[in-house]
Amino acid sequence: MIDLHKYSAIMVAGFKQELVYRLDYFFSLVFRILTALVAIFVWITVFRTTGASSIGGLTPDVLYAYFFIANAISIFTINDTVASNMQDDIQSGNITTSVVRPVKYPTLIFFNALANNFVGLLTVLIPFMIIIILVAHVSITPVTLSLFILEIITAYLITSALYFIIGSLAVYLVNIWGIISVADSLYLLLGGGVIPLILFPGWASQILLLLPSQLSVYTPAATLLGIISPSAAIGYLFAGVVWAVVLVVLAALWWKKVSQNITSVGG
Amino acid sequence: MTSNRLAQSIRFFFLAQRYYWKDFLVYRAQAVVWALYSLINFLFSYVAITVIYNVSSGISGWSYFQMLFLVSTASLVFGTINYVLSPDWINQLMRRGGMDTRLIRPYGRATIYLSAEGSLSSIVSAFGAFVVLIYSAFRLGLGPAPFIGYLLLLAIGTVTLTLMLLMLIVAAYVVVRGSSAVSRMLSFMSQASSYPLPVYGIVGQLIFTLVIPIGVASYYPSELVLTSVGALTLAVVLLVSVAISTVSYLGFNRLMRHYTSGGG
Repeated sequence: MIDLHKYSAIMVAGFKQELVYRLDYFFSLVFRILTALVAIFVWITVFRTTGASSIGGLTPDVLYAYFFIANAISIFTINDTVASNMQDDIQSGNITTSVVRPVKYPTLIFFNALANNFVGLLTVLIPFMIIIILVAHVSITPVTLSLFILEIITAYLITSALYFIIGSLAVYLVNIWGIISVADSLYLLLGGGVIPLILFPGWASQILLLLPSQLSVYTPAATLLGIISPSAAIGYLFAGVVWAVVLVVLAALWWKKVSQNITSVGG
Repeated sequence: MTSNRLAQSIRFFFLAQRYYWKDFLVYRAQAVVWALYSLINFLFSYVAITVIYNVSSGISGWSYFQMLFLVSTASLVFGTINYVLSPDWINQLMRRGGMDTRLIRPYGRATIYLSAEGSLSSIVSAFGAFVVLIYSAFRLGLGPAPFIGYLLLLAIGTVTLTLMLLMLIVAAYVVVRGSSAVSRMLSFMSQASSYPLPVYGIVGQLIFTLVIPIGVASYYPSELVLTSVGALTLAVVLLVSVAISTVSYLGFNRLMRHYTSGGG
């Protein structure tokens, strides 16, 4: 039988950790919103200059809502907590104590990060969605909402598996901040966090939609805003599920190999 | 006396850089990865601009190469600032007491903070931005003459922004003990300065000139070369730069009175 108390204790610790510097967290959220507003102001000007009612099939309202919601989604889906926590554990030697704990290290690290990311989900993603629904008059059907939730969960699994593989590299490299930062930036760009994937040239857009990163920002935002049809969203979600399974299996196999090479401070 | 002290401070800054670079290059693979990171971040704005101009006629009054020039200017400014200042690192130093041992050195507080190691790999994005800047200037047919005024304004603006951020880093430490907000603010400023100020409307333009002076570092220097800036605007920009620099420097020193390090 699964001992839920064990996992809830890990999550409570993660929540507390994330909210230690509440005021700092609040101000960083404000600047996150302002960053989304920069893109919106730019596109307002572009639409005004062009005089077109839509660009790349996207109307002004949809595009503005996209940048707003994309920013919120990325807080939950593009999160390097797993990799950075693993690096900290390996550098400090804390990873060795995980051997004597009643929970396996990958489970521990996953639930701890989940708690951290839940703070982003509760304080940003859900409020932003409510604002978008009210301000941009986005009509959300039960189908698009269900697809959106499934996409977010799948994206979270993909990101966690990817960052788990990256995090485990710390066993060999010790300091992986550079790699984590490269992954963050690439994931945001390739996932549609900077520009919606539909606006890239056709060939680039088609390639990007095949990558696991498509599910991190573009597909959930596009599903919610009706940029892509539910049937197309199901196709992207299916591709995402395949990516998630492949990456989780890869991460498990990789960890089996890597965990044999762990040396903590002192050898 | 003052010039002697300034020369000593500059010498200290460059000496510190020498050691940081030696330390940075010990782990060559890490150095390459960080350089790659800076390069990717540097390409972000170019991708955005290229896609915008690919699917539309762009921003009114600004050609593609003029936008490249502006984006490069912004990248050059923020590449330089990131090279000198790292909010997270300085915050860590203050929290853990690492700044205490540095503060006993015989230099000014601002010199010590500005020599406390920023993100060295940002030099890659600054250098990349400079290359694109020269290329776009060549494509726009700009001569070397207007560049003197441009470089002067750019330098003044960069110093202004650096001093303001220095004050904000210490303020964030004193008030919230964190650095996430200042890091996010830096990222926001970098992105906002990549576009012409009129994009943000008259209120936005005023805020980005008088309150968060990203305009004085990237937009007005670019405008000076690309179009023309009136004498009054130029005077206001210079006055604002001097005023914000002075307030930031004084504010930094005042906030340092409230500084207590980790355990202190």
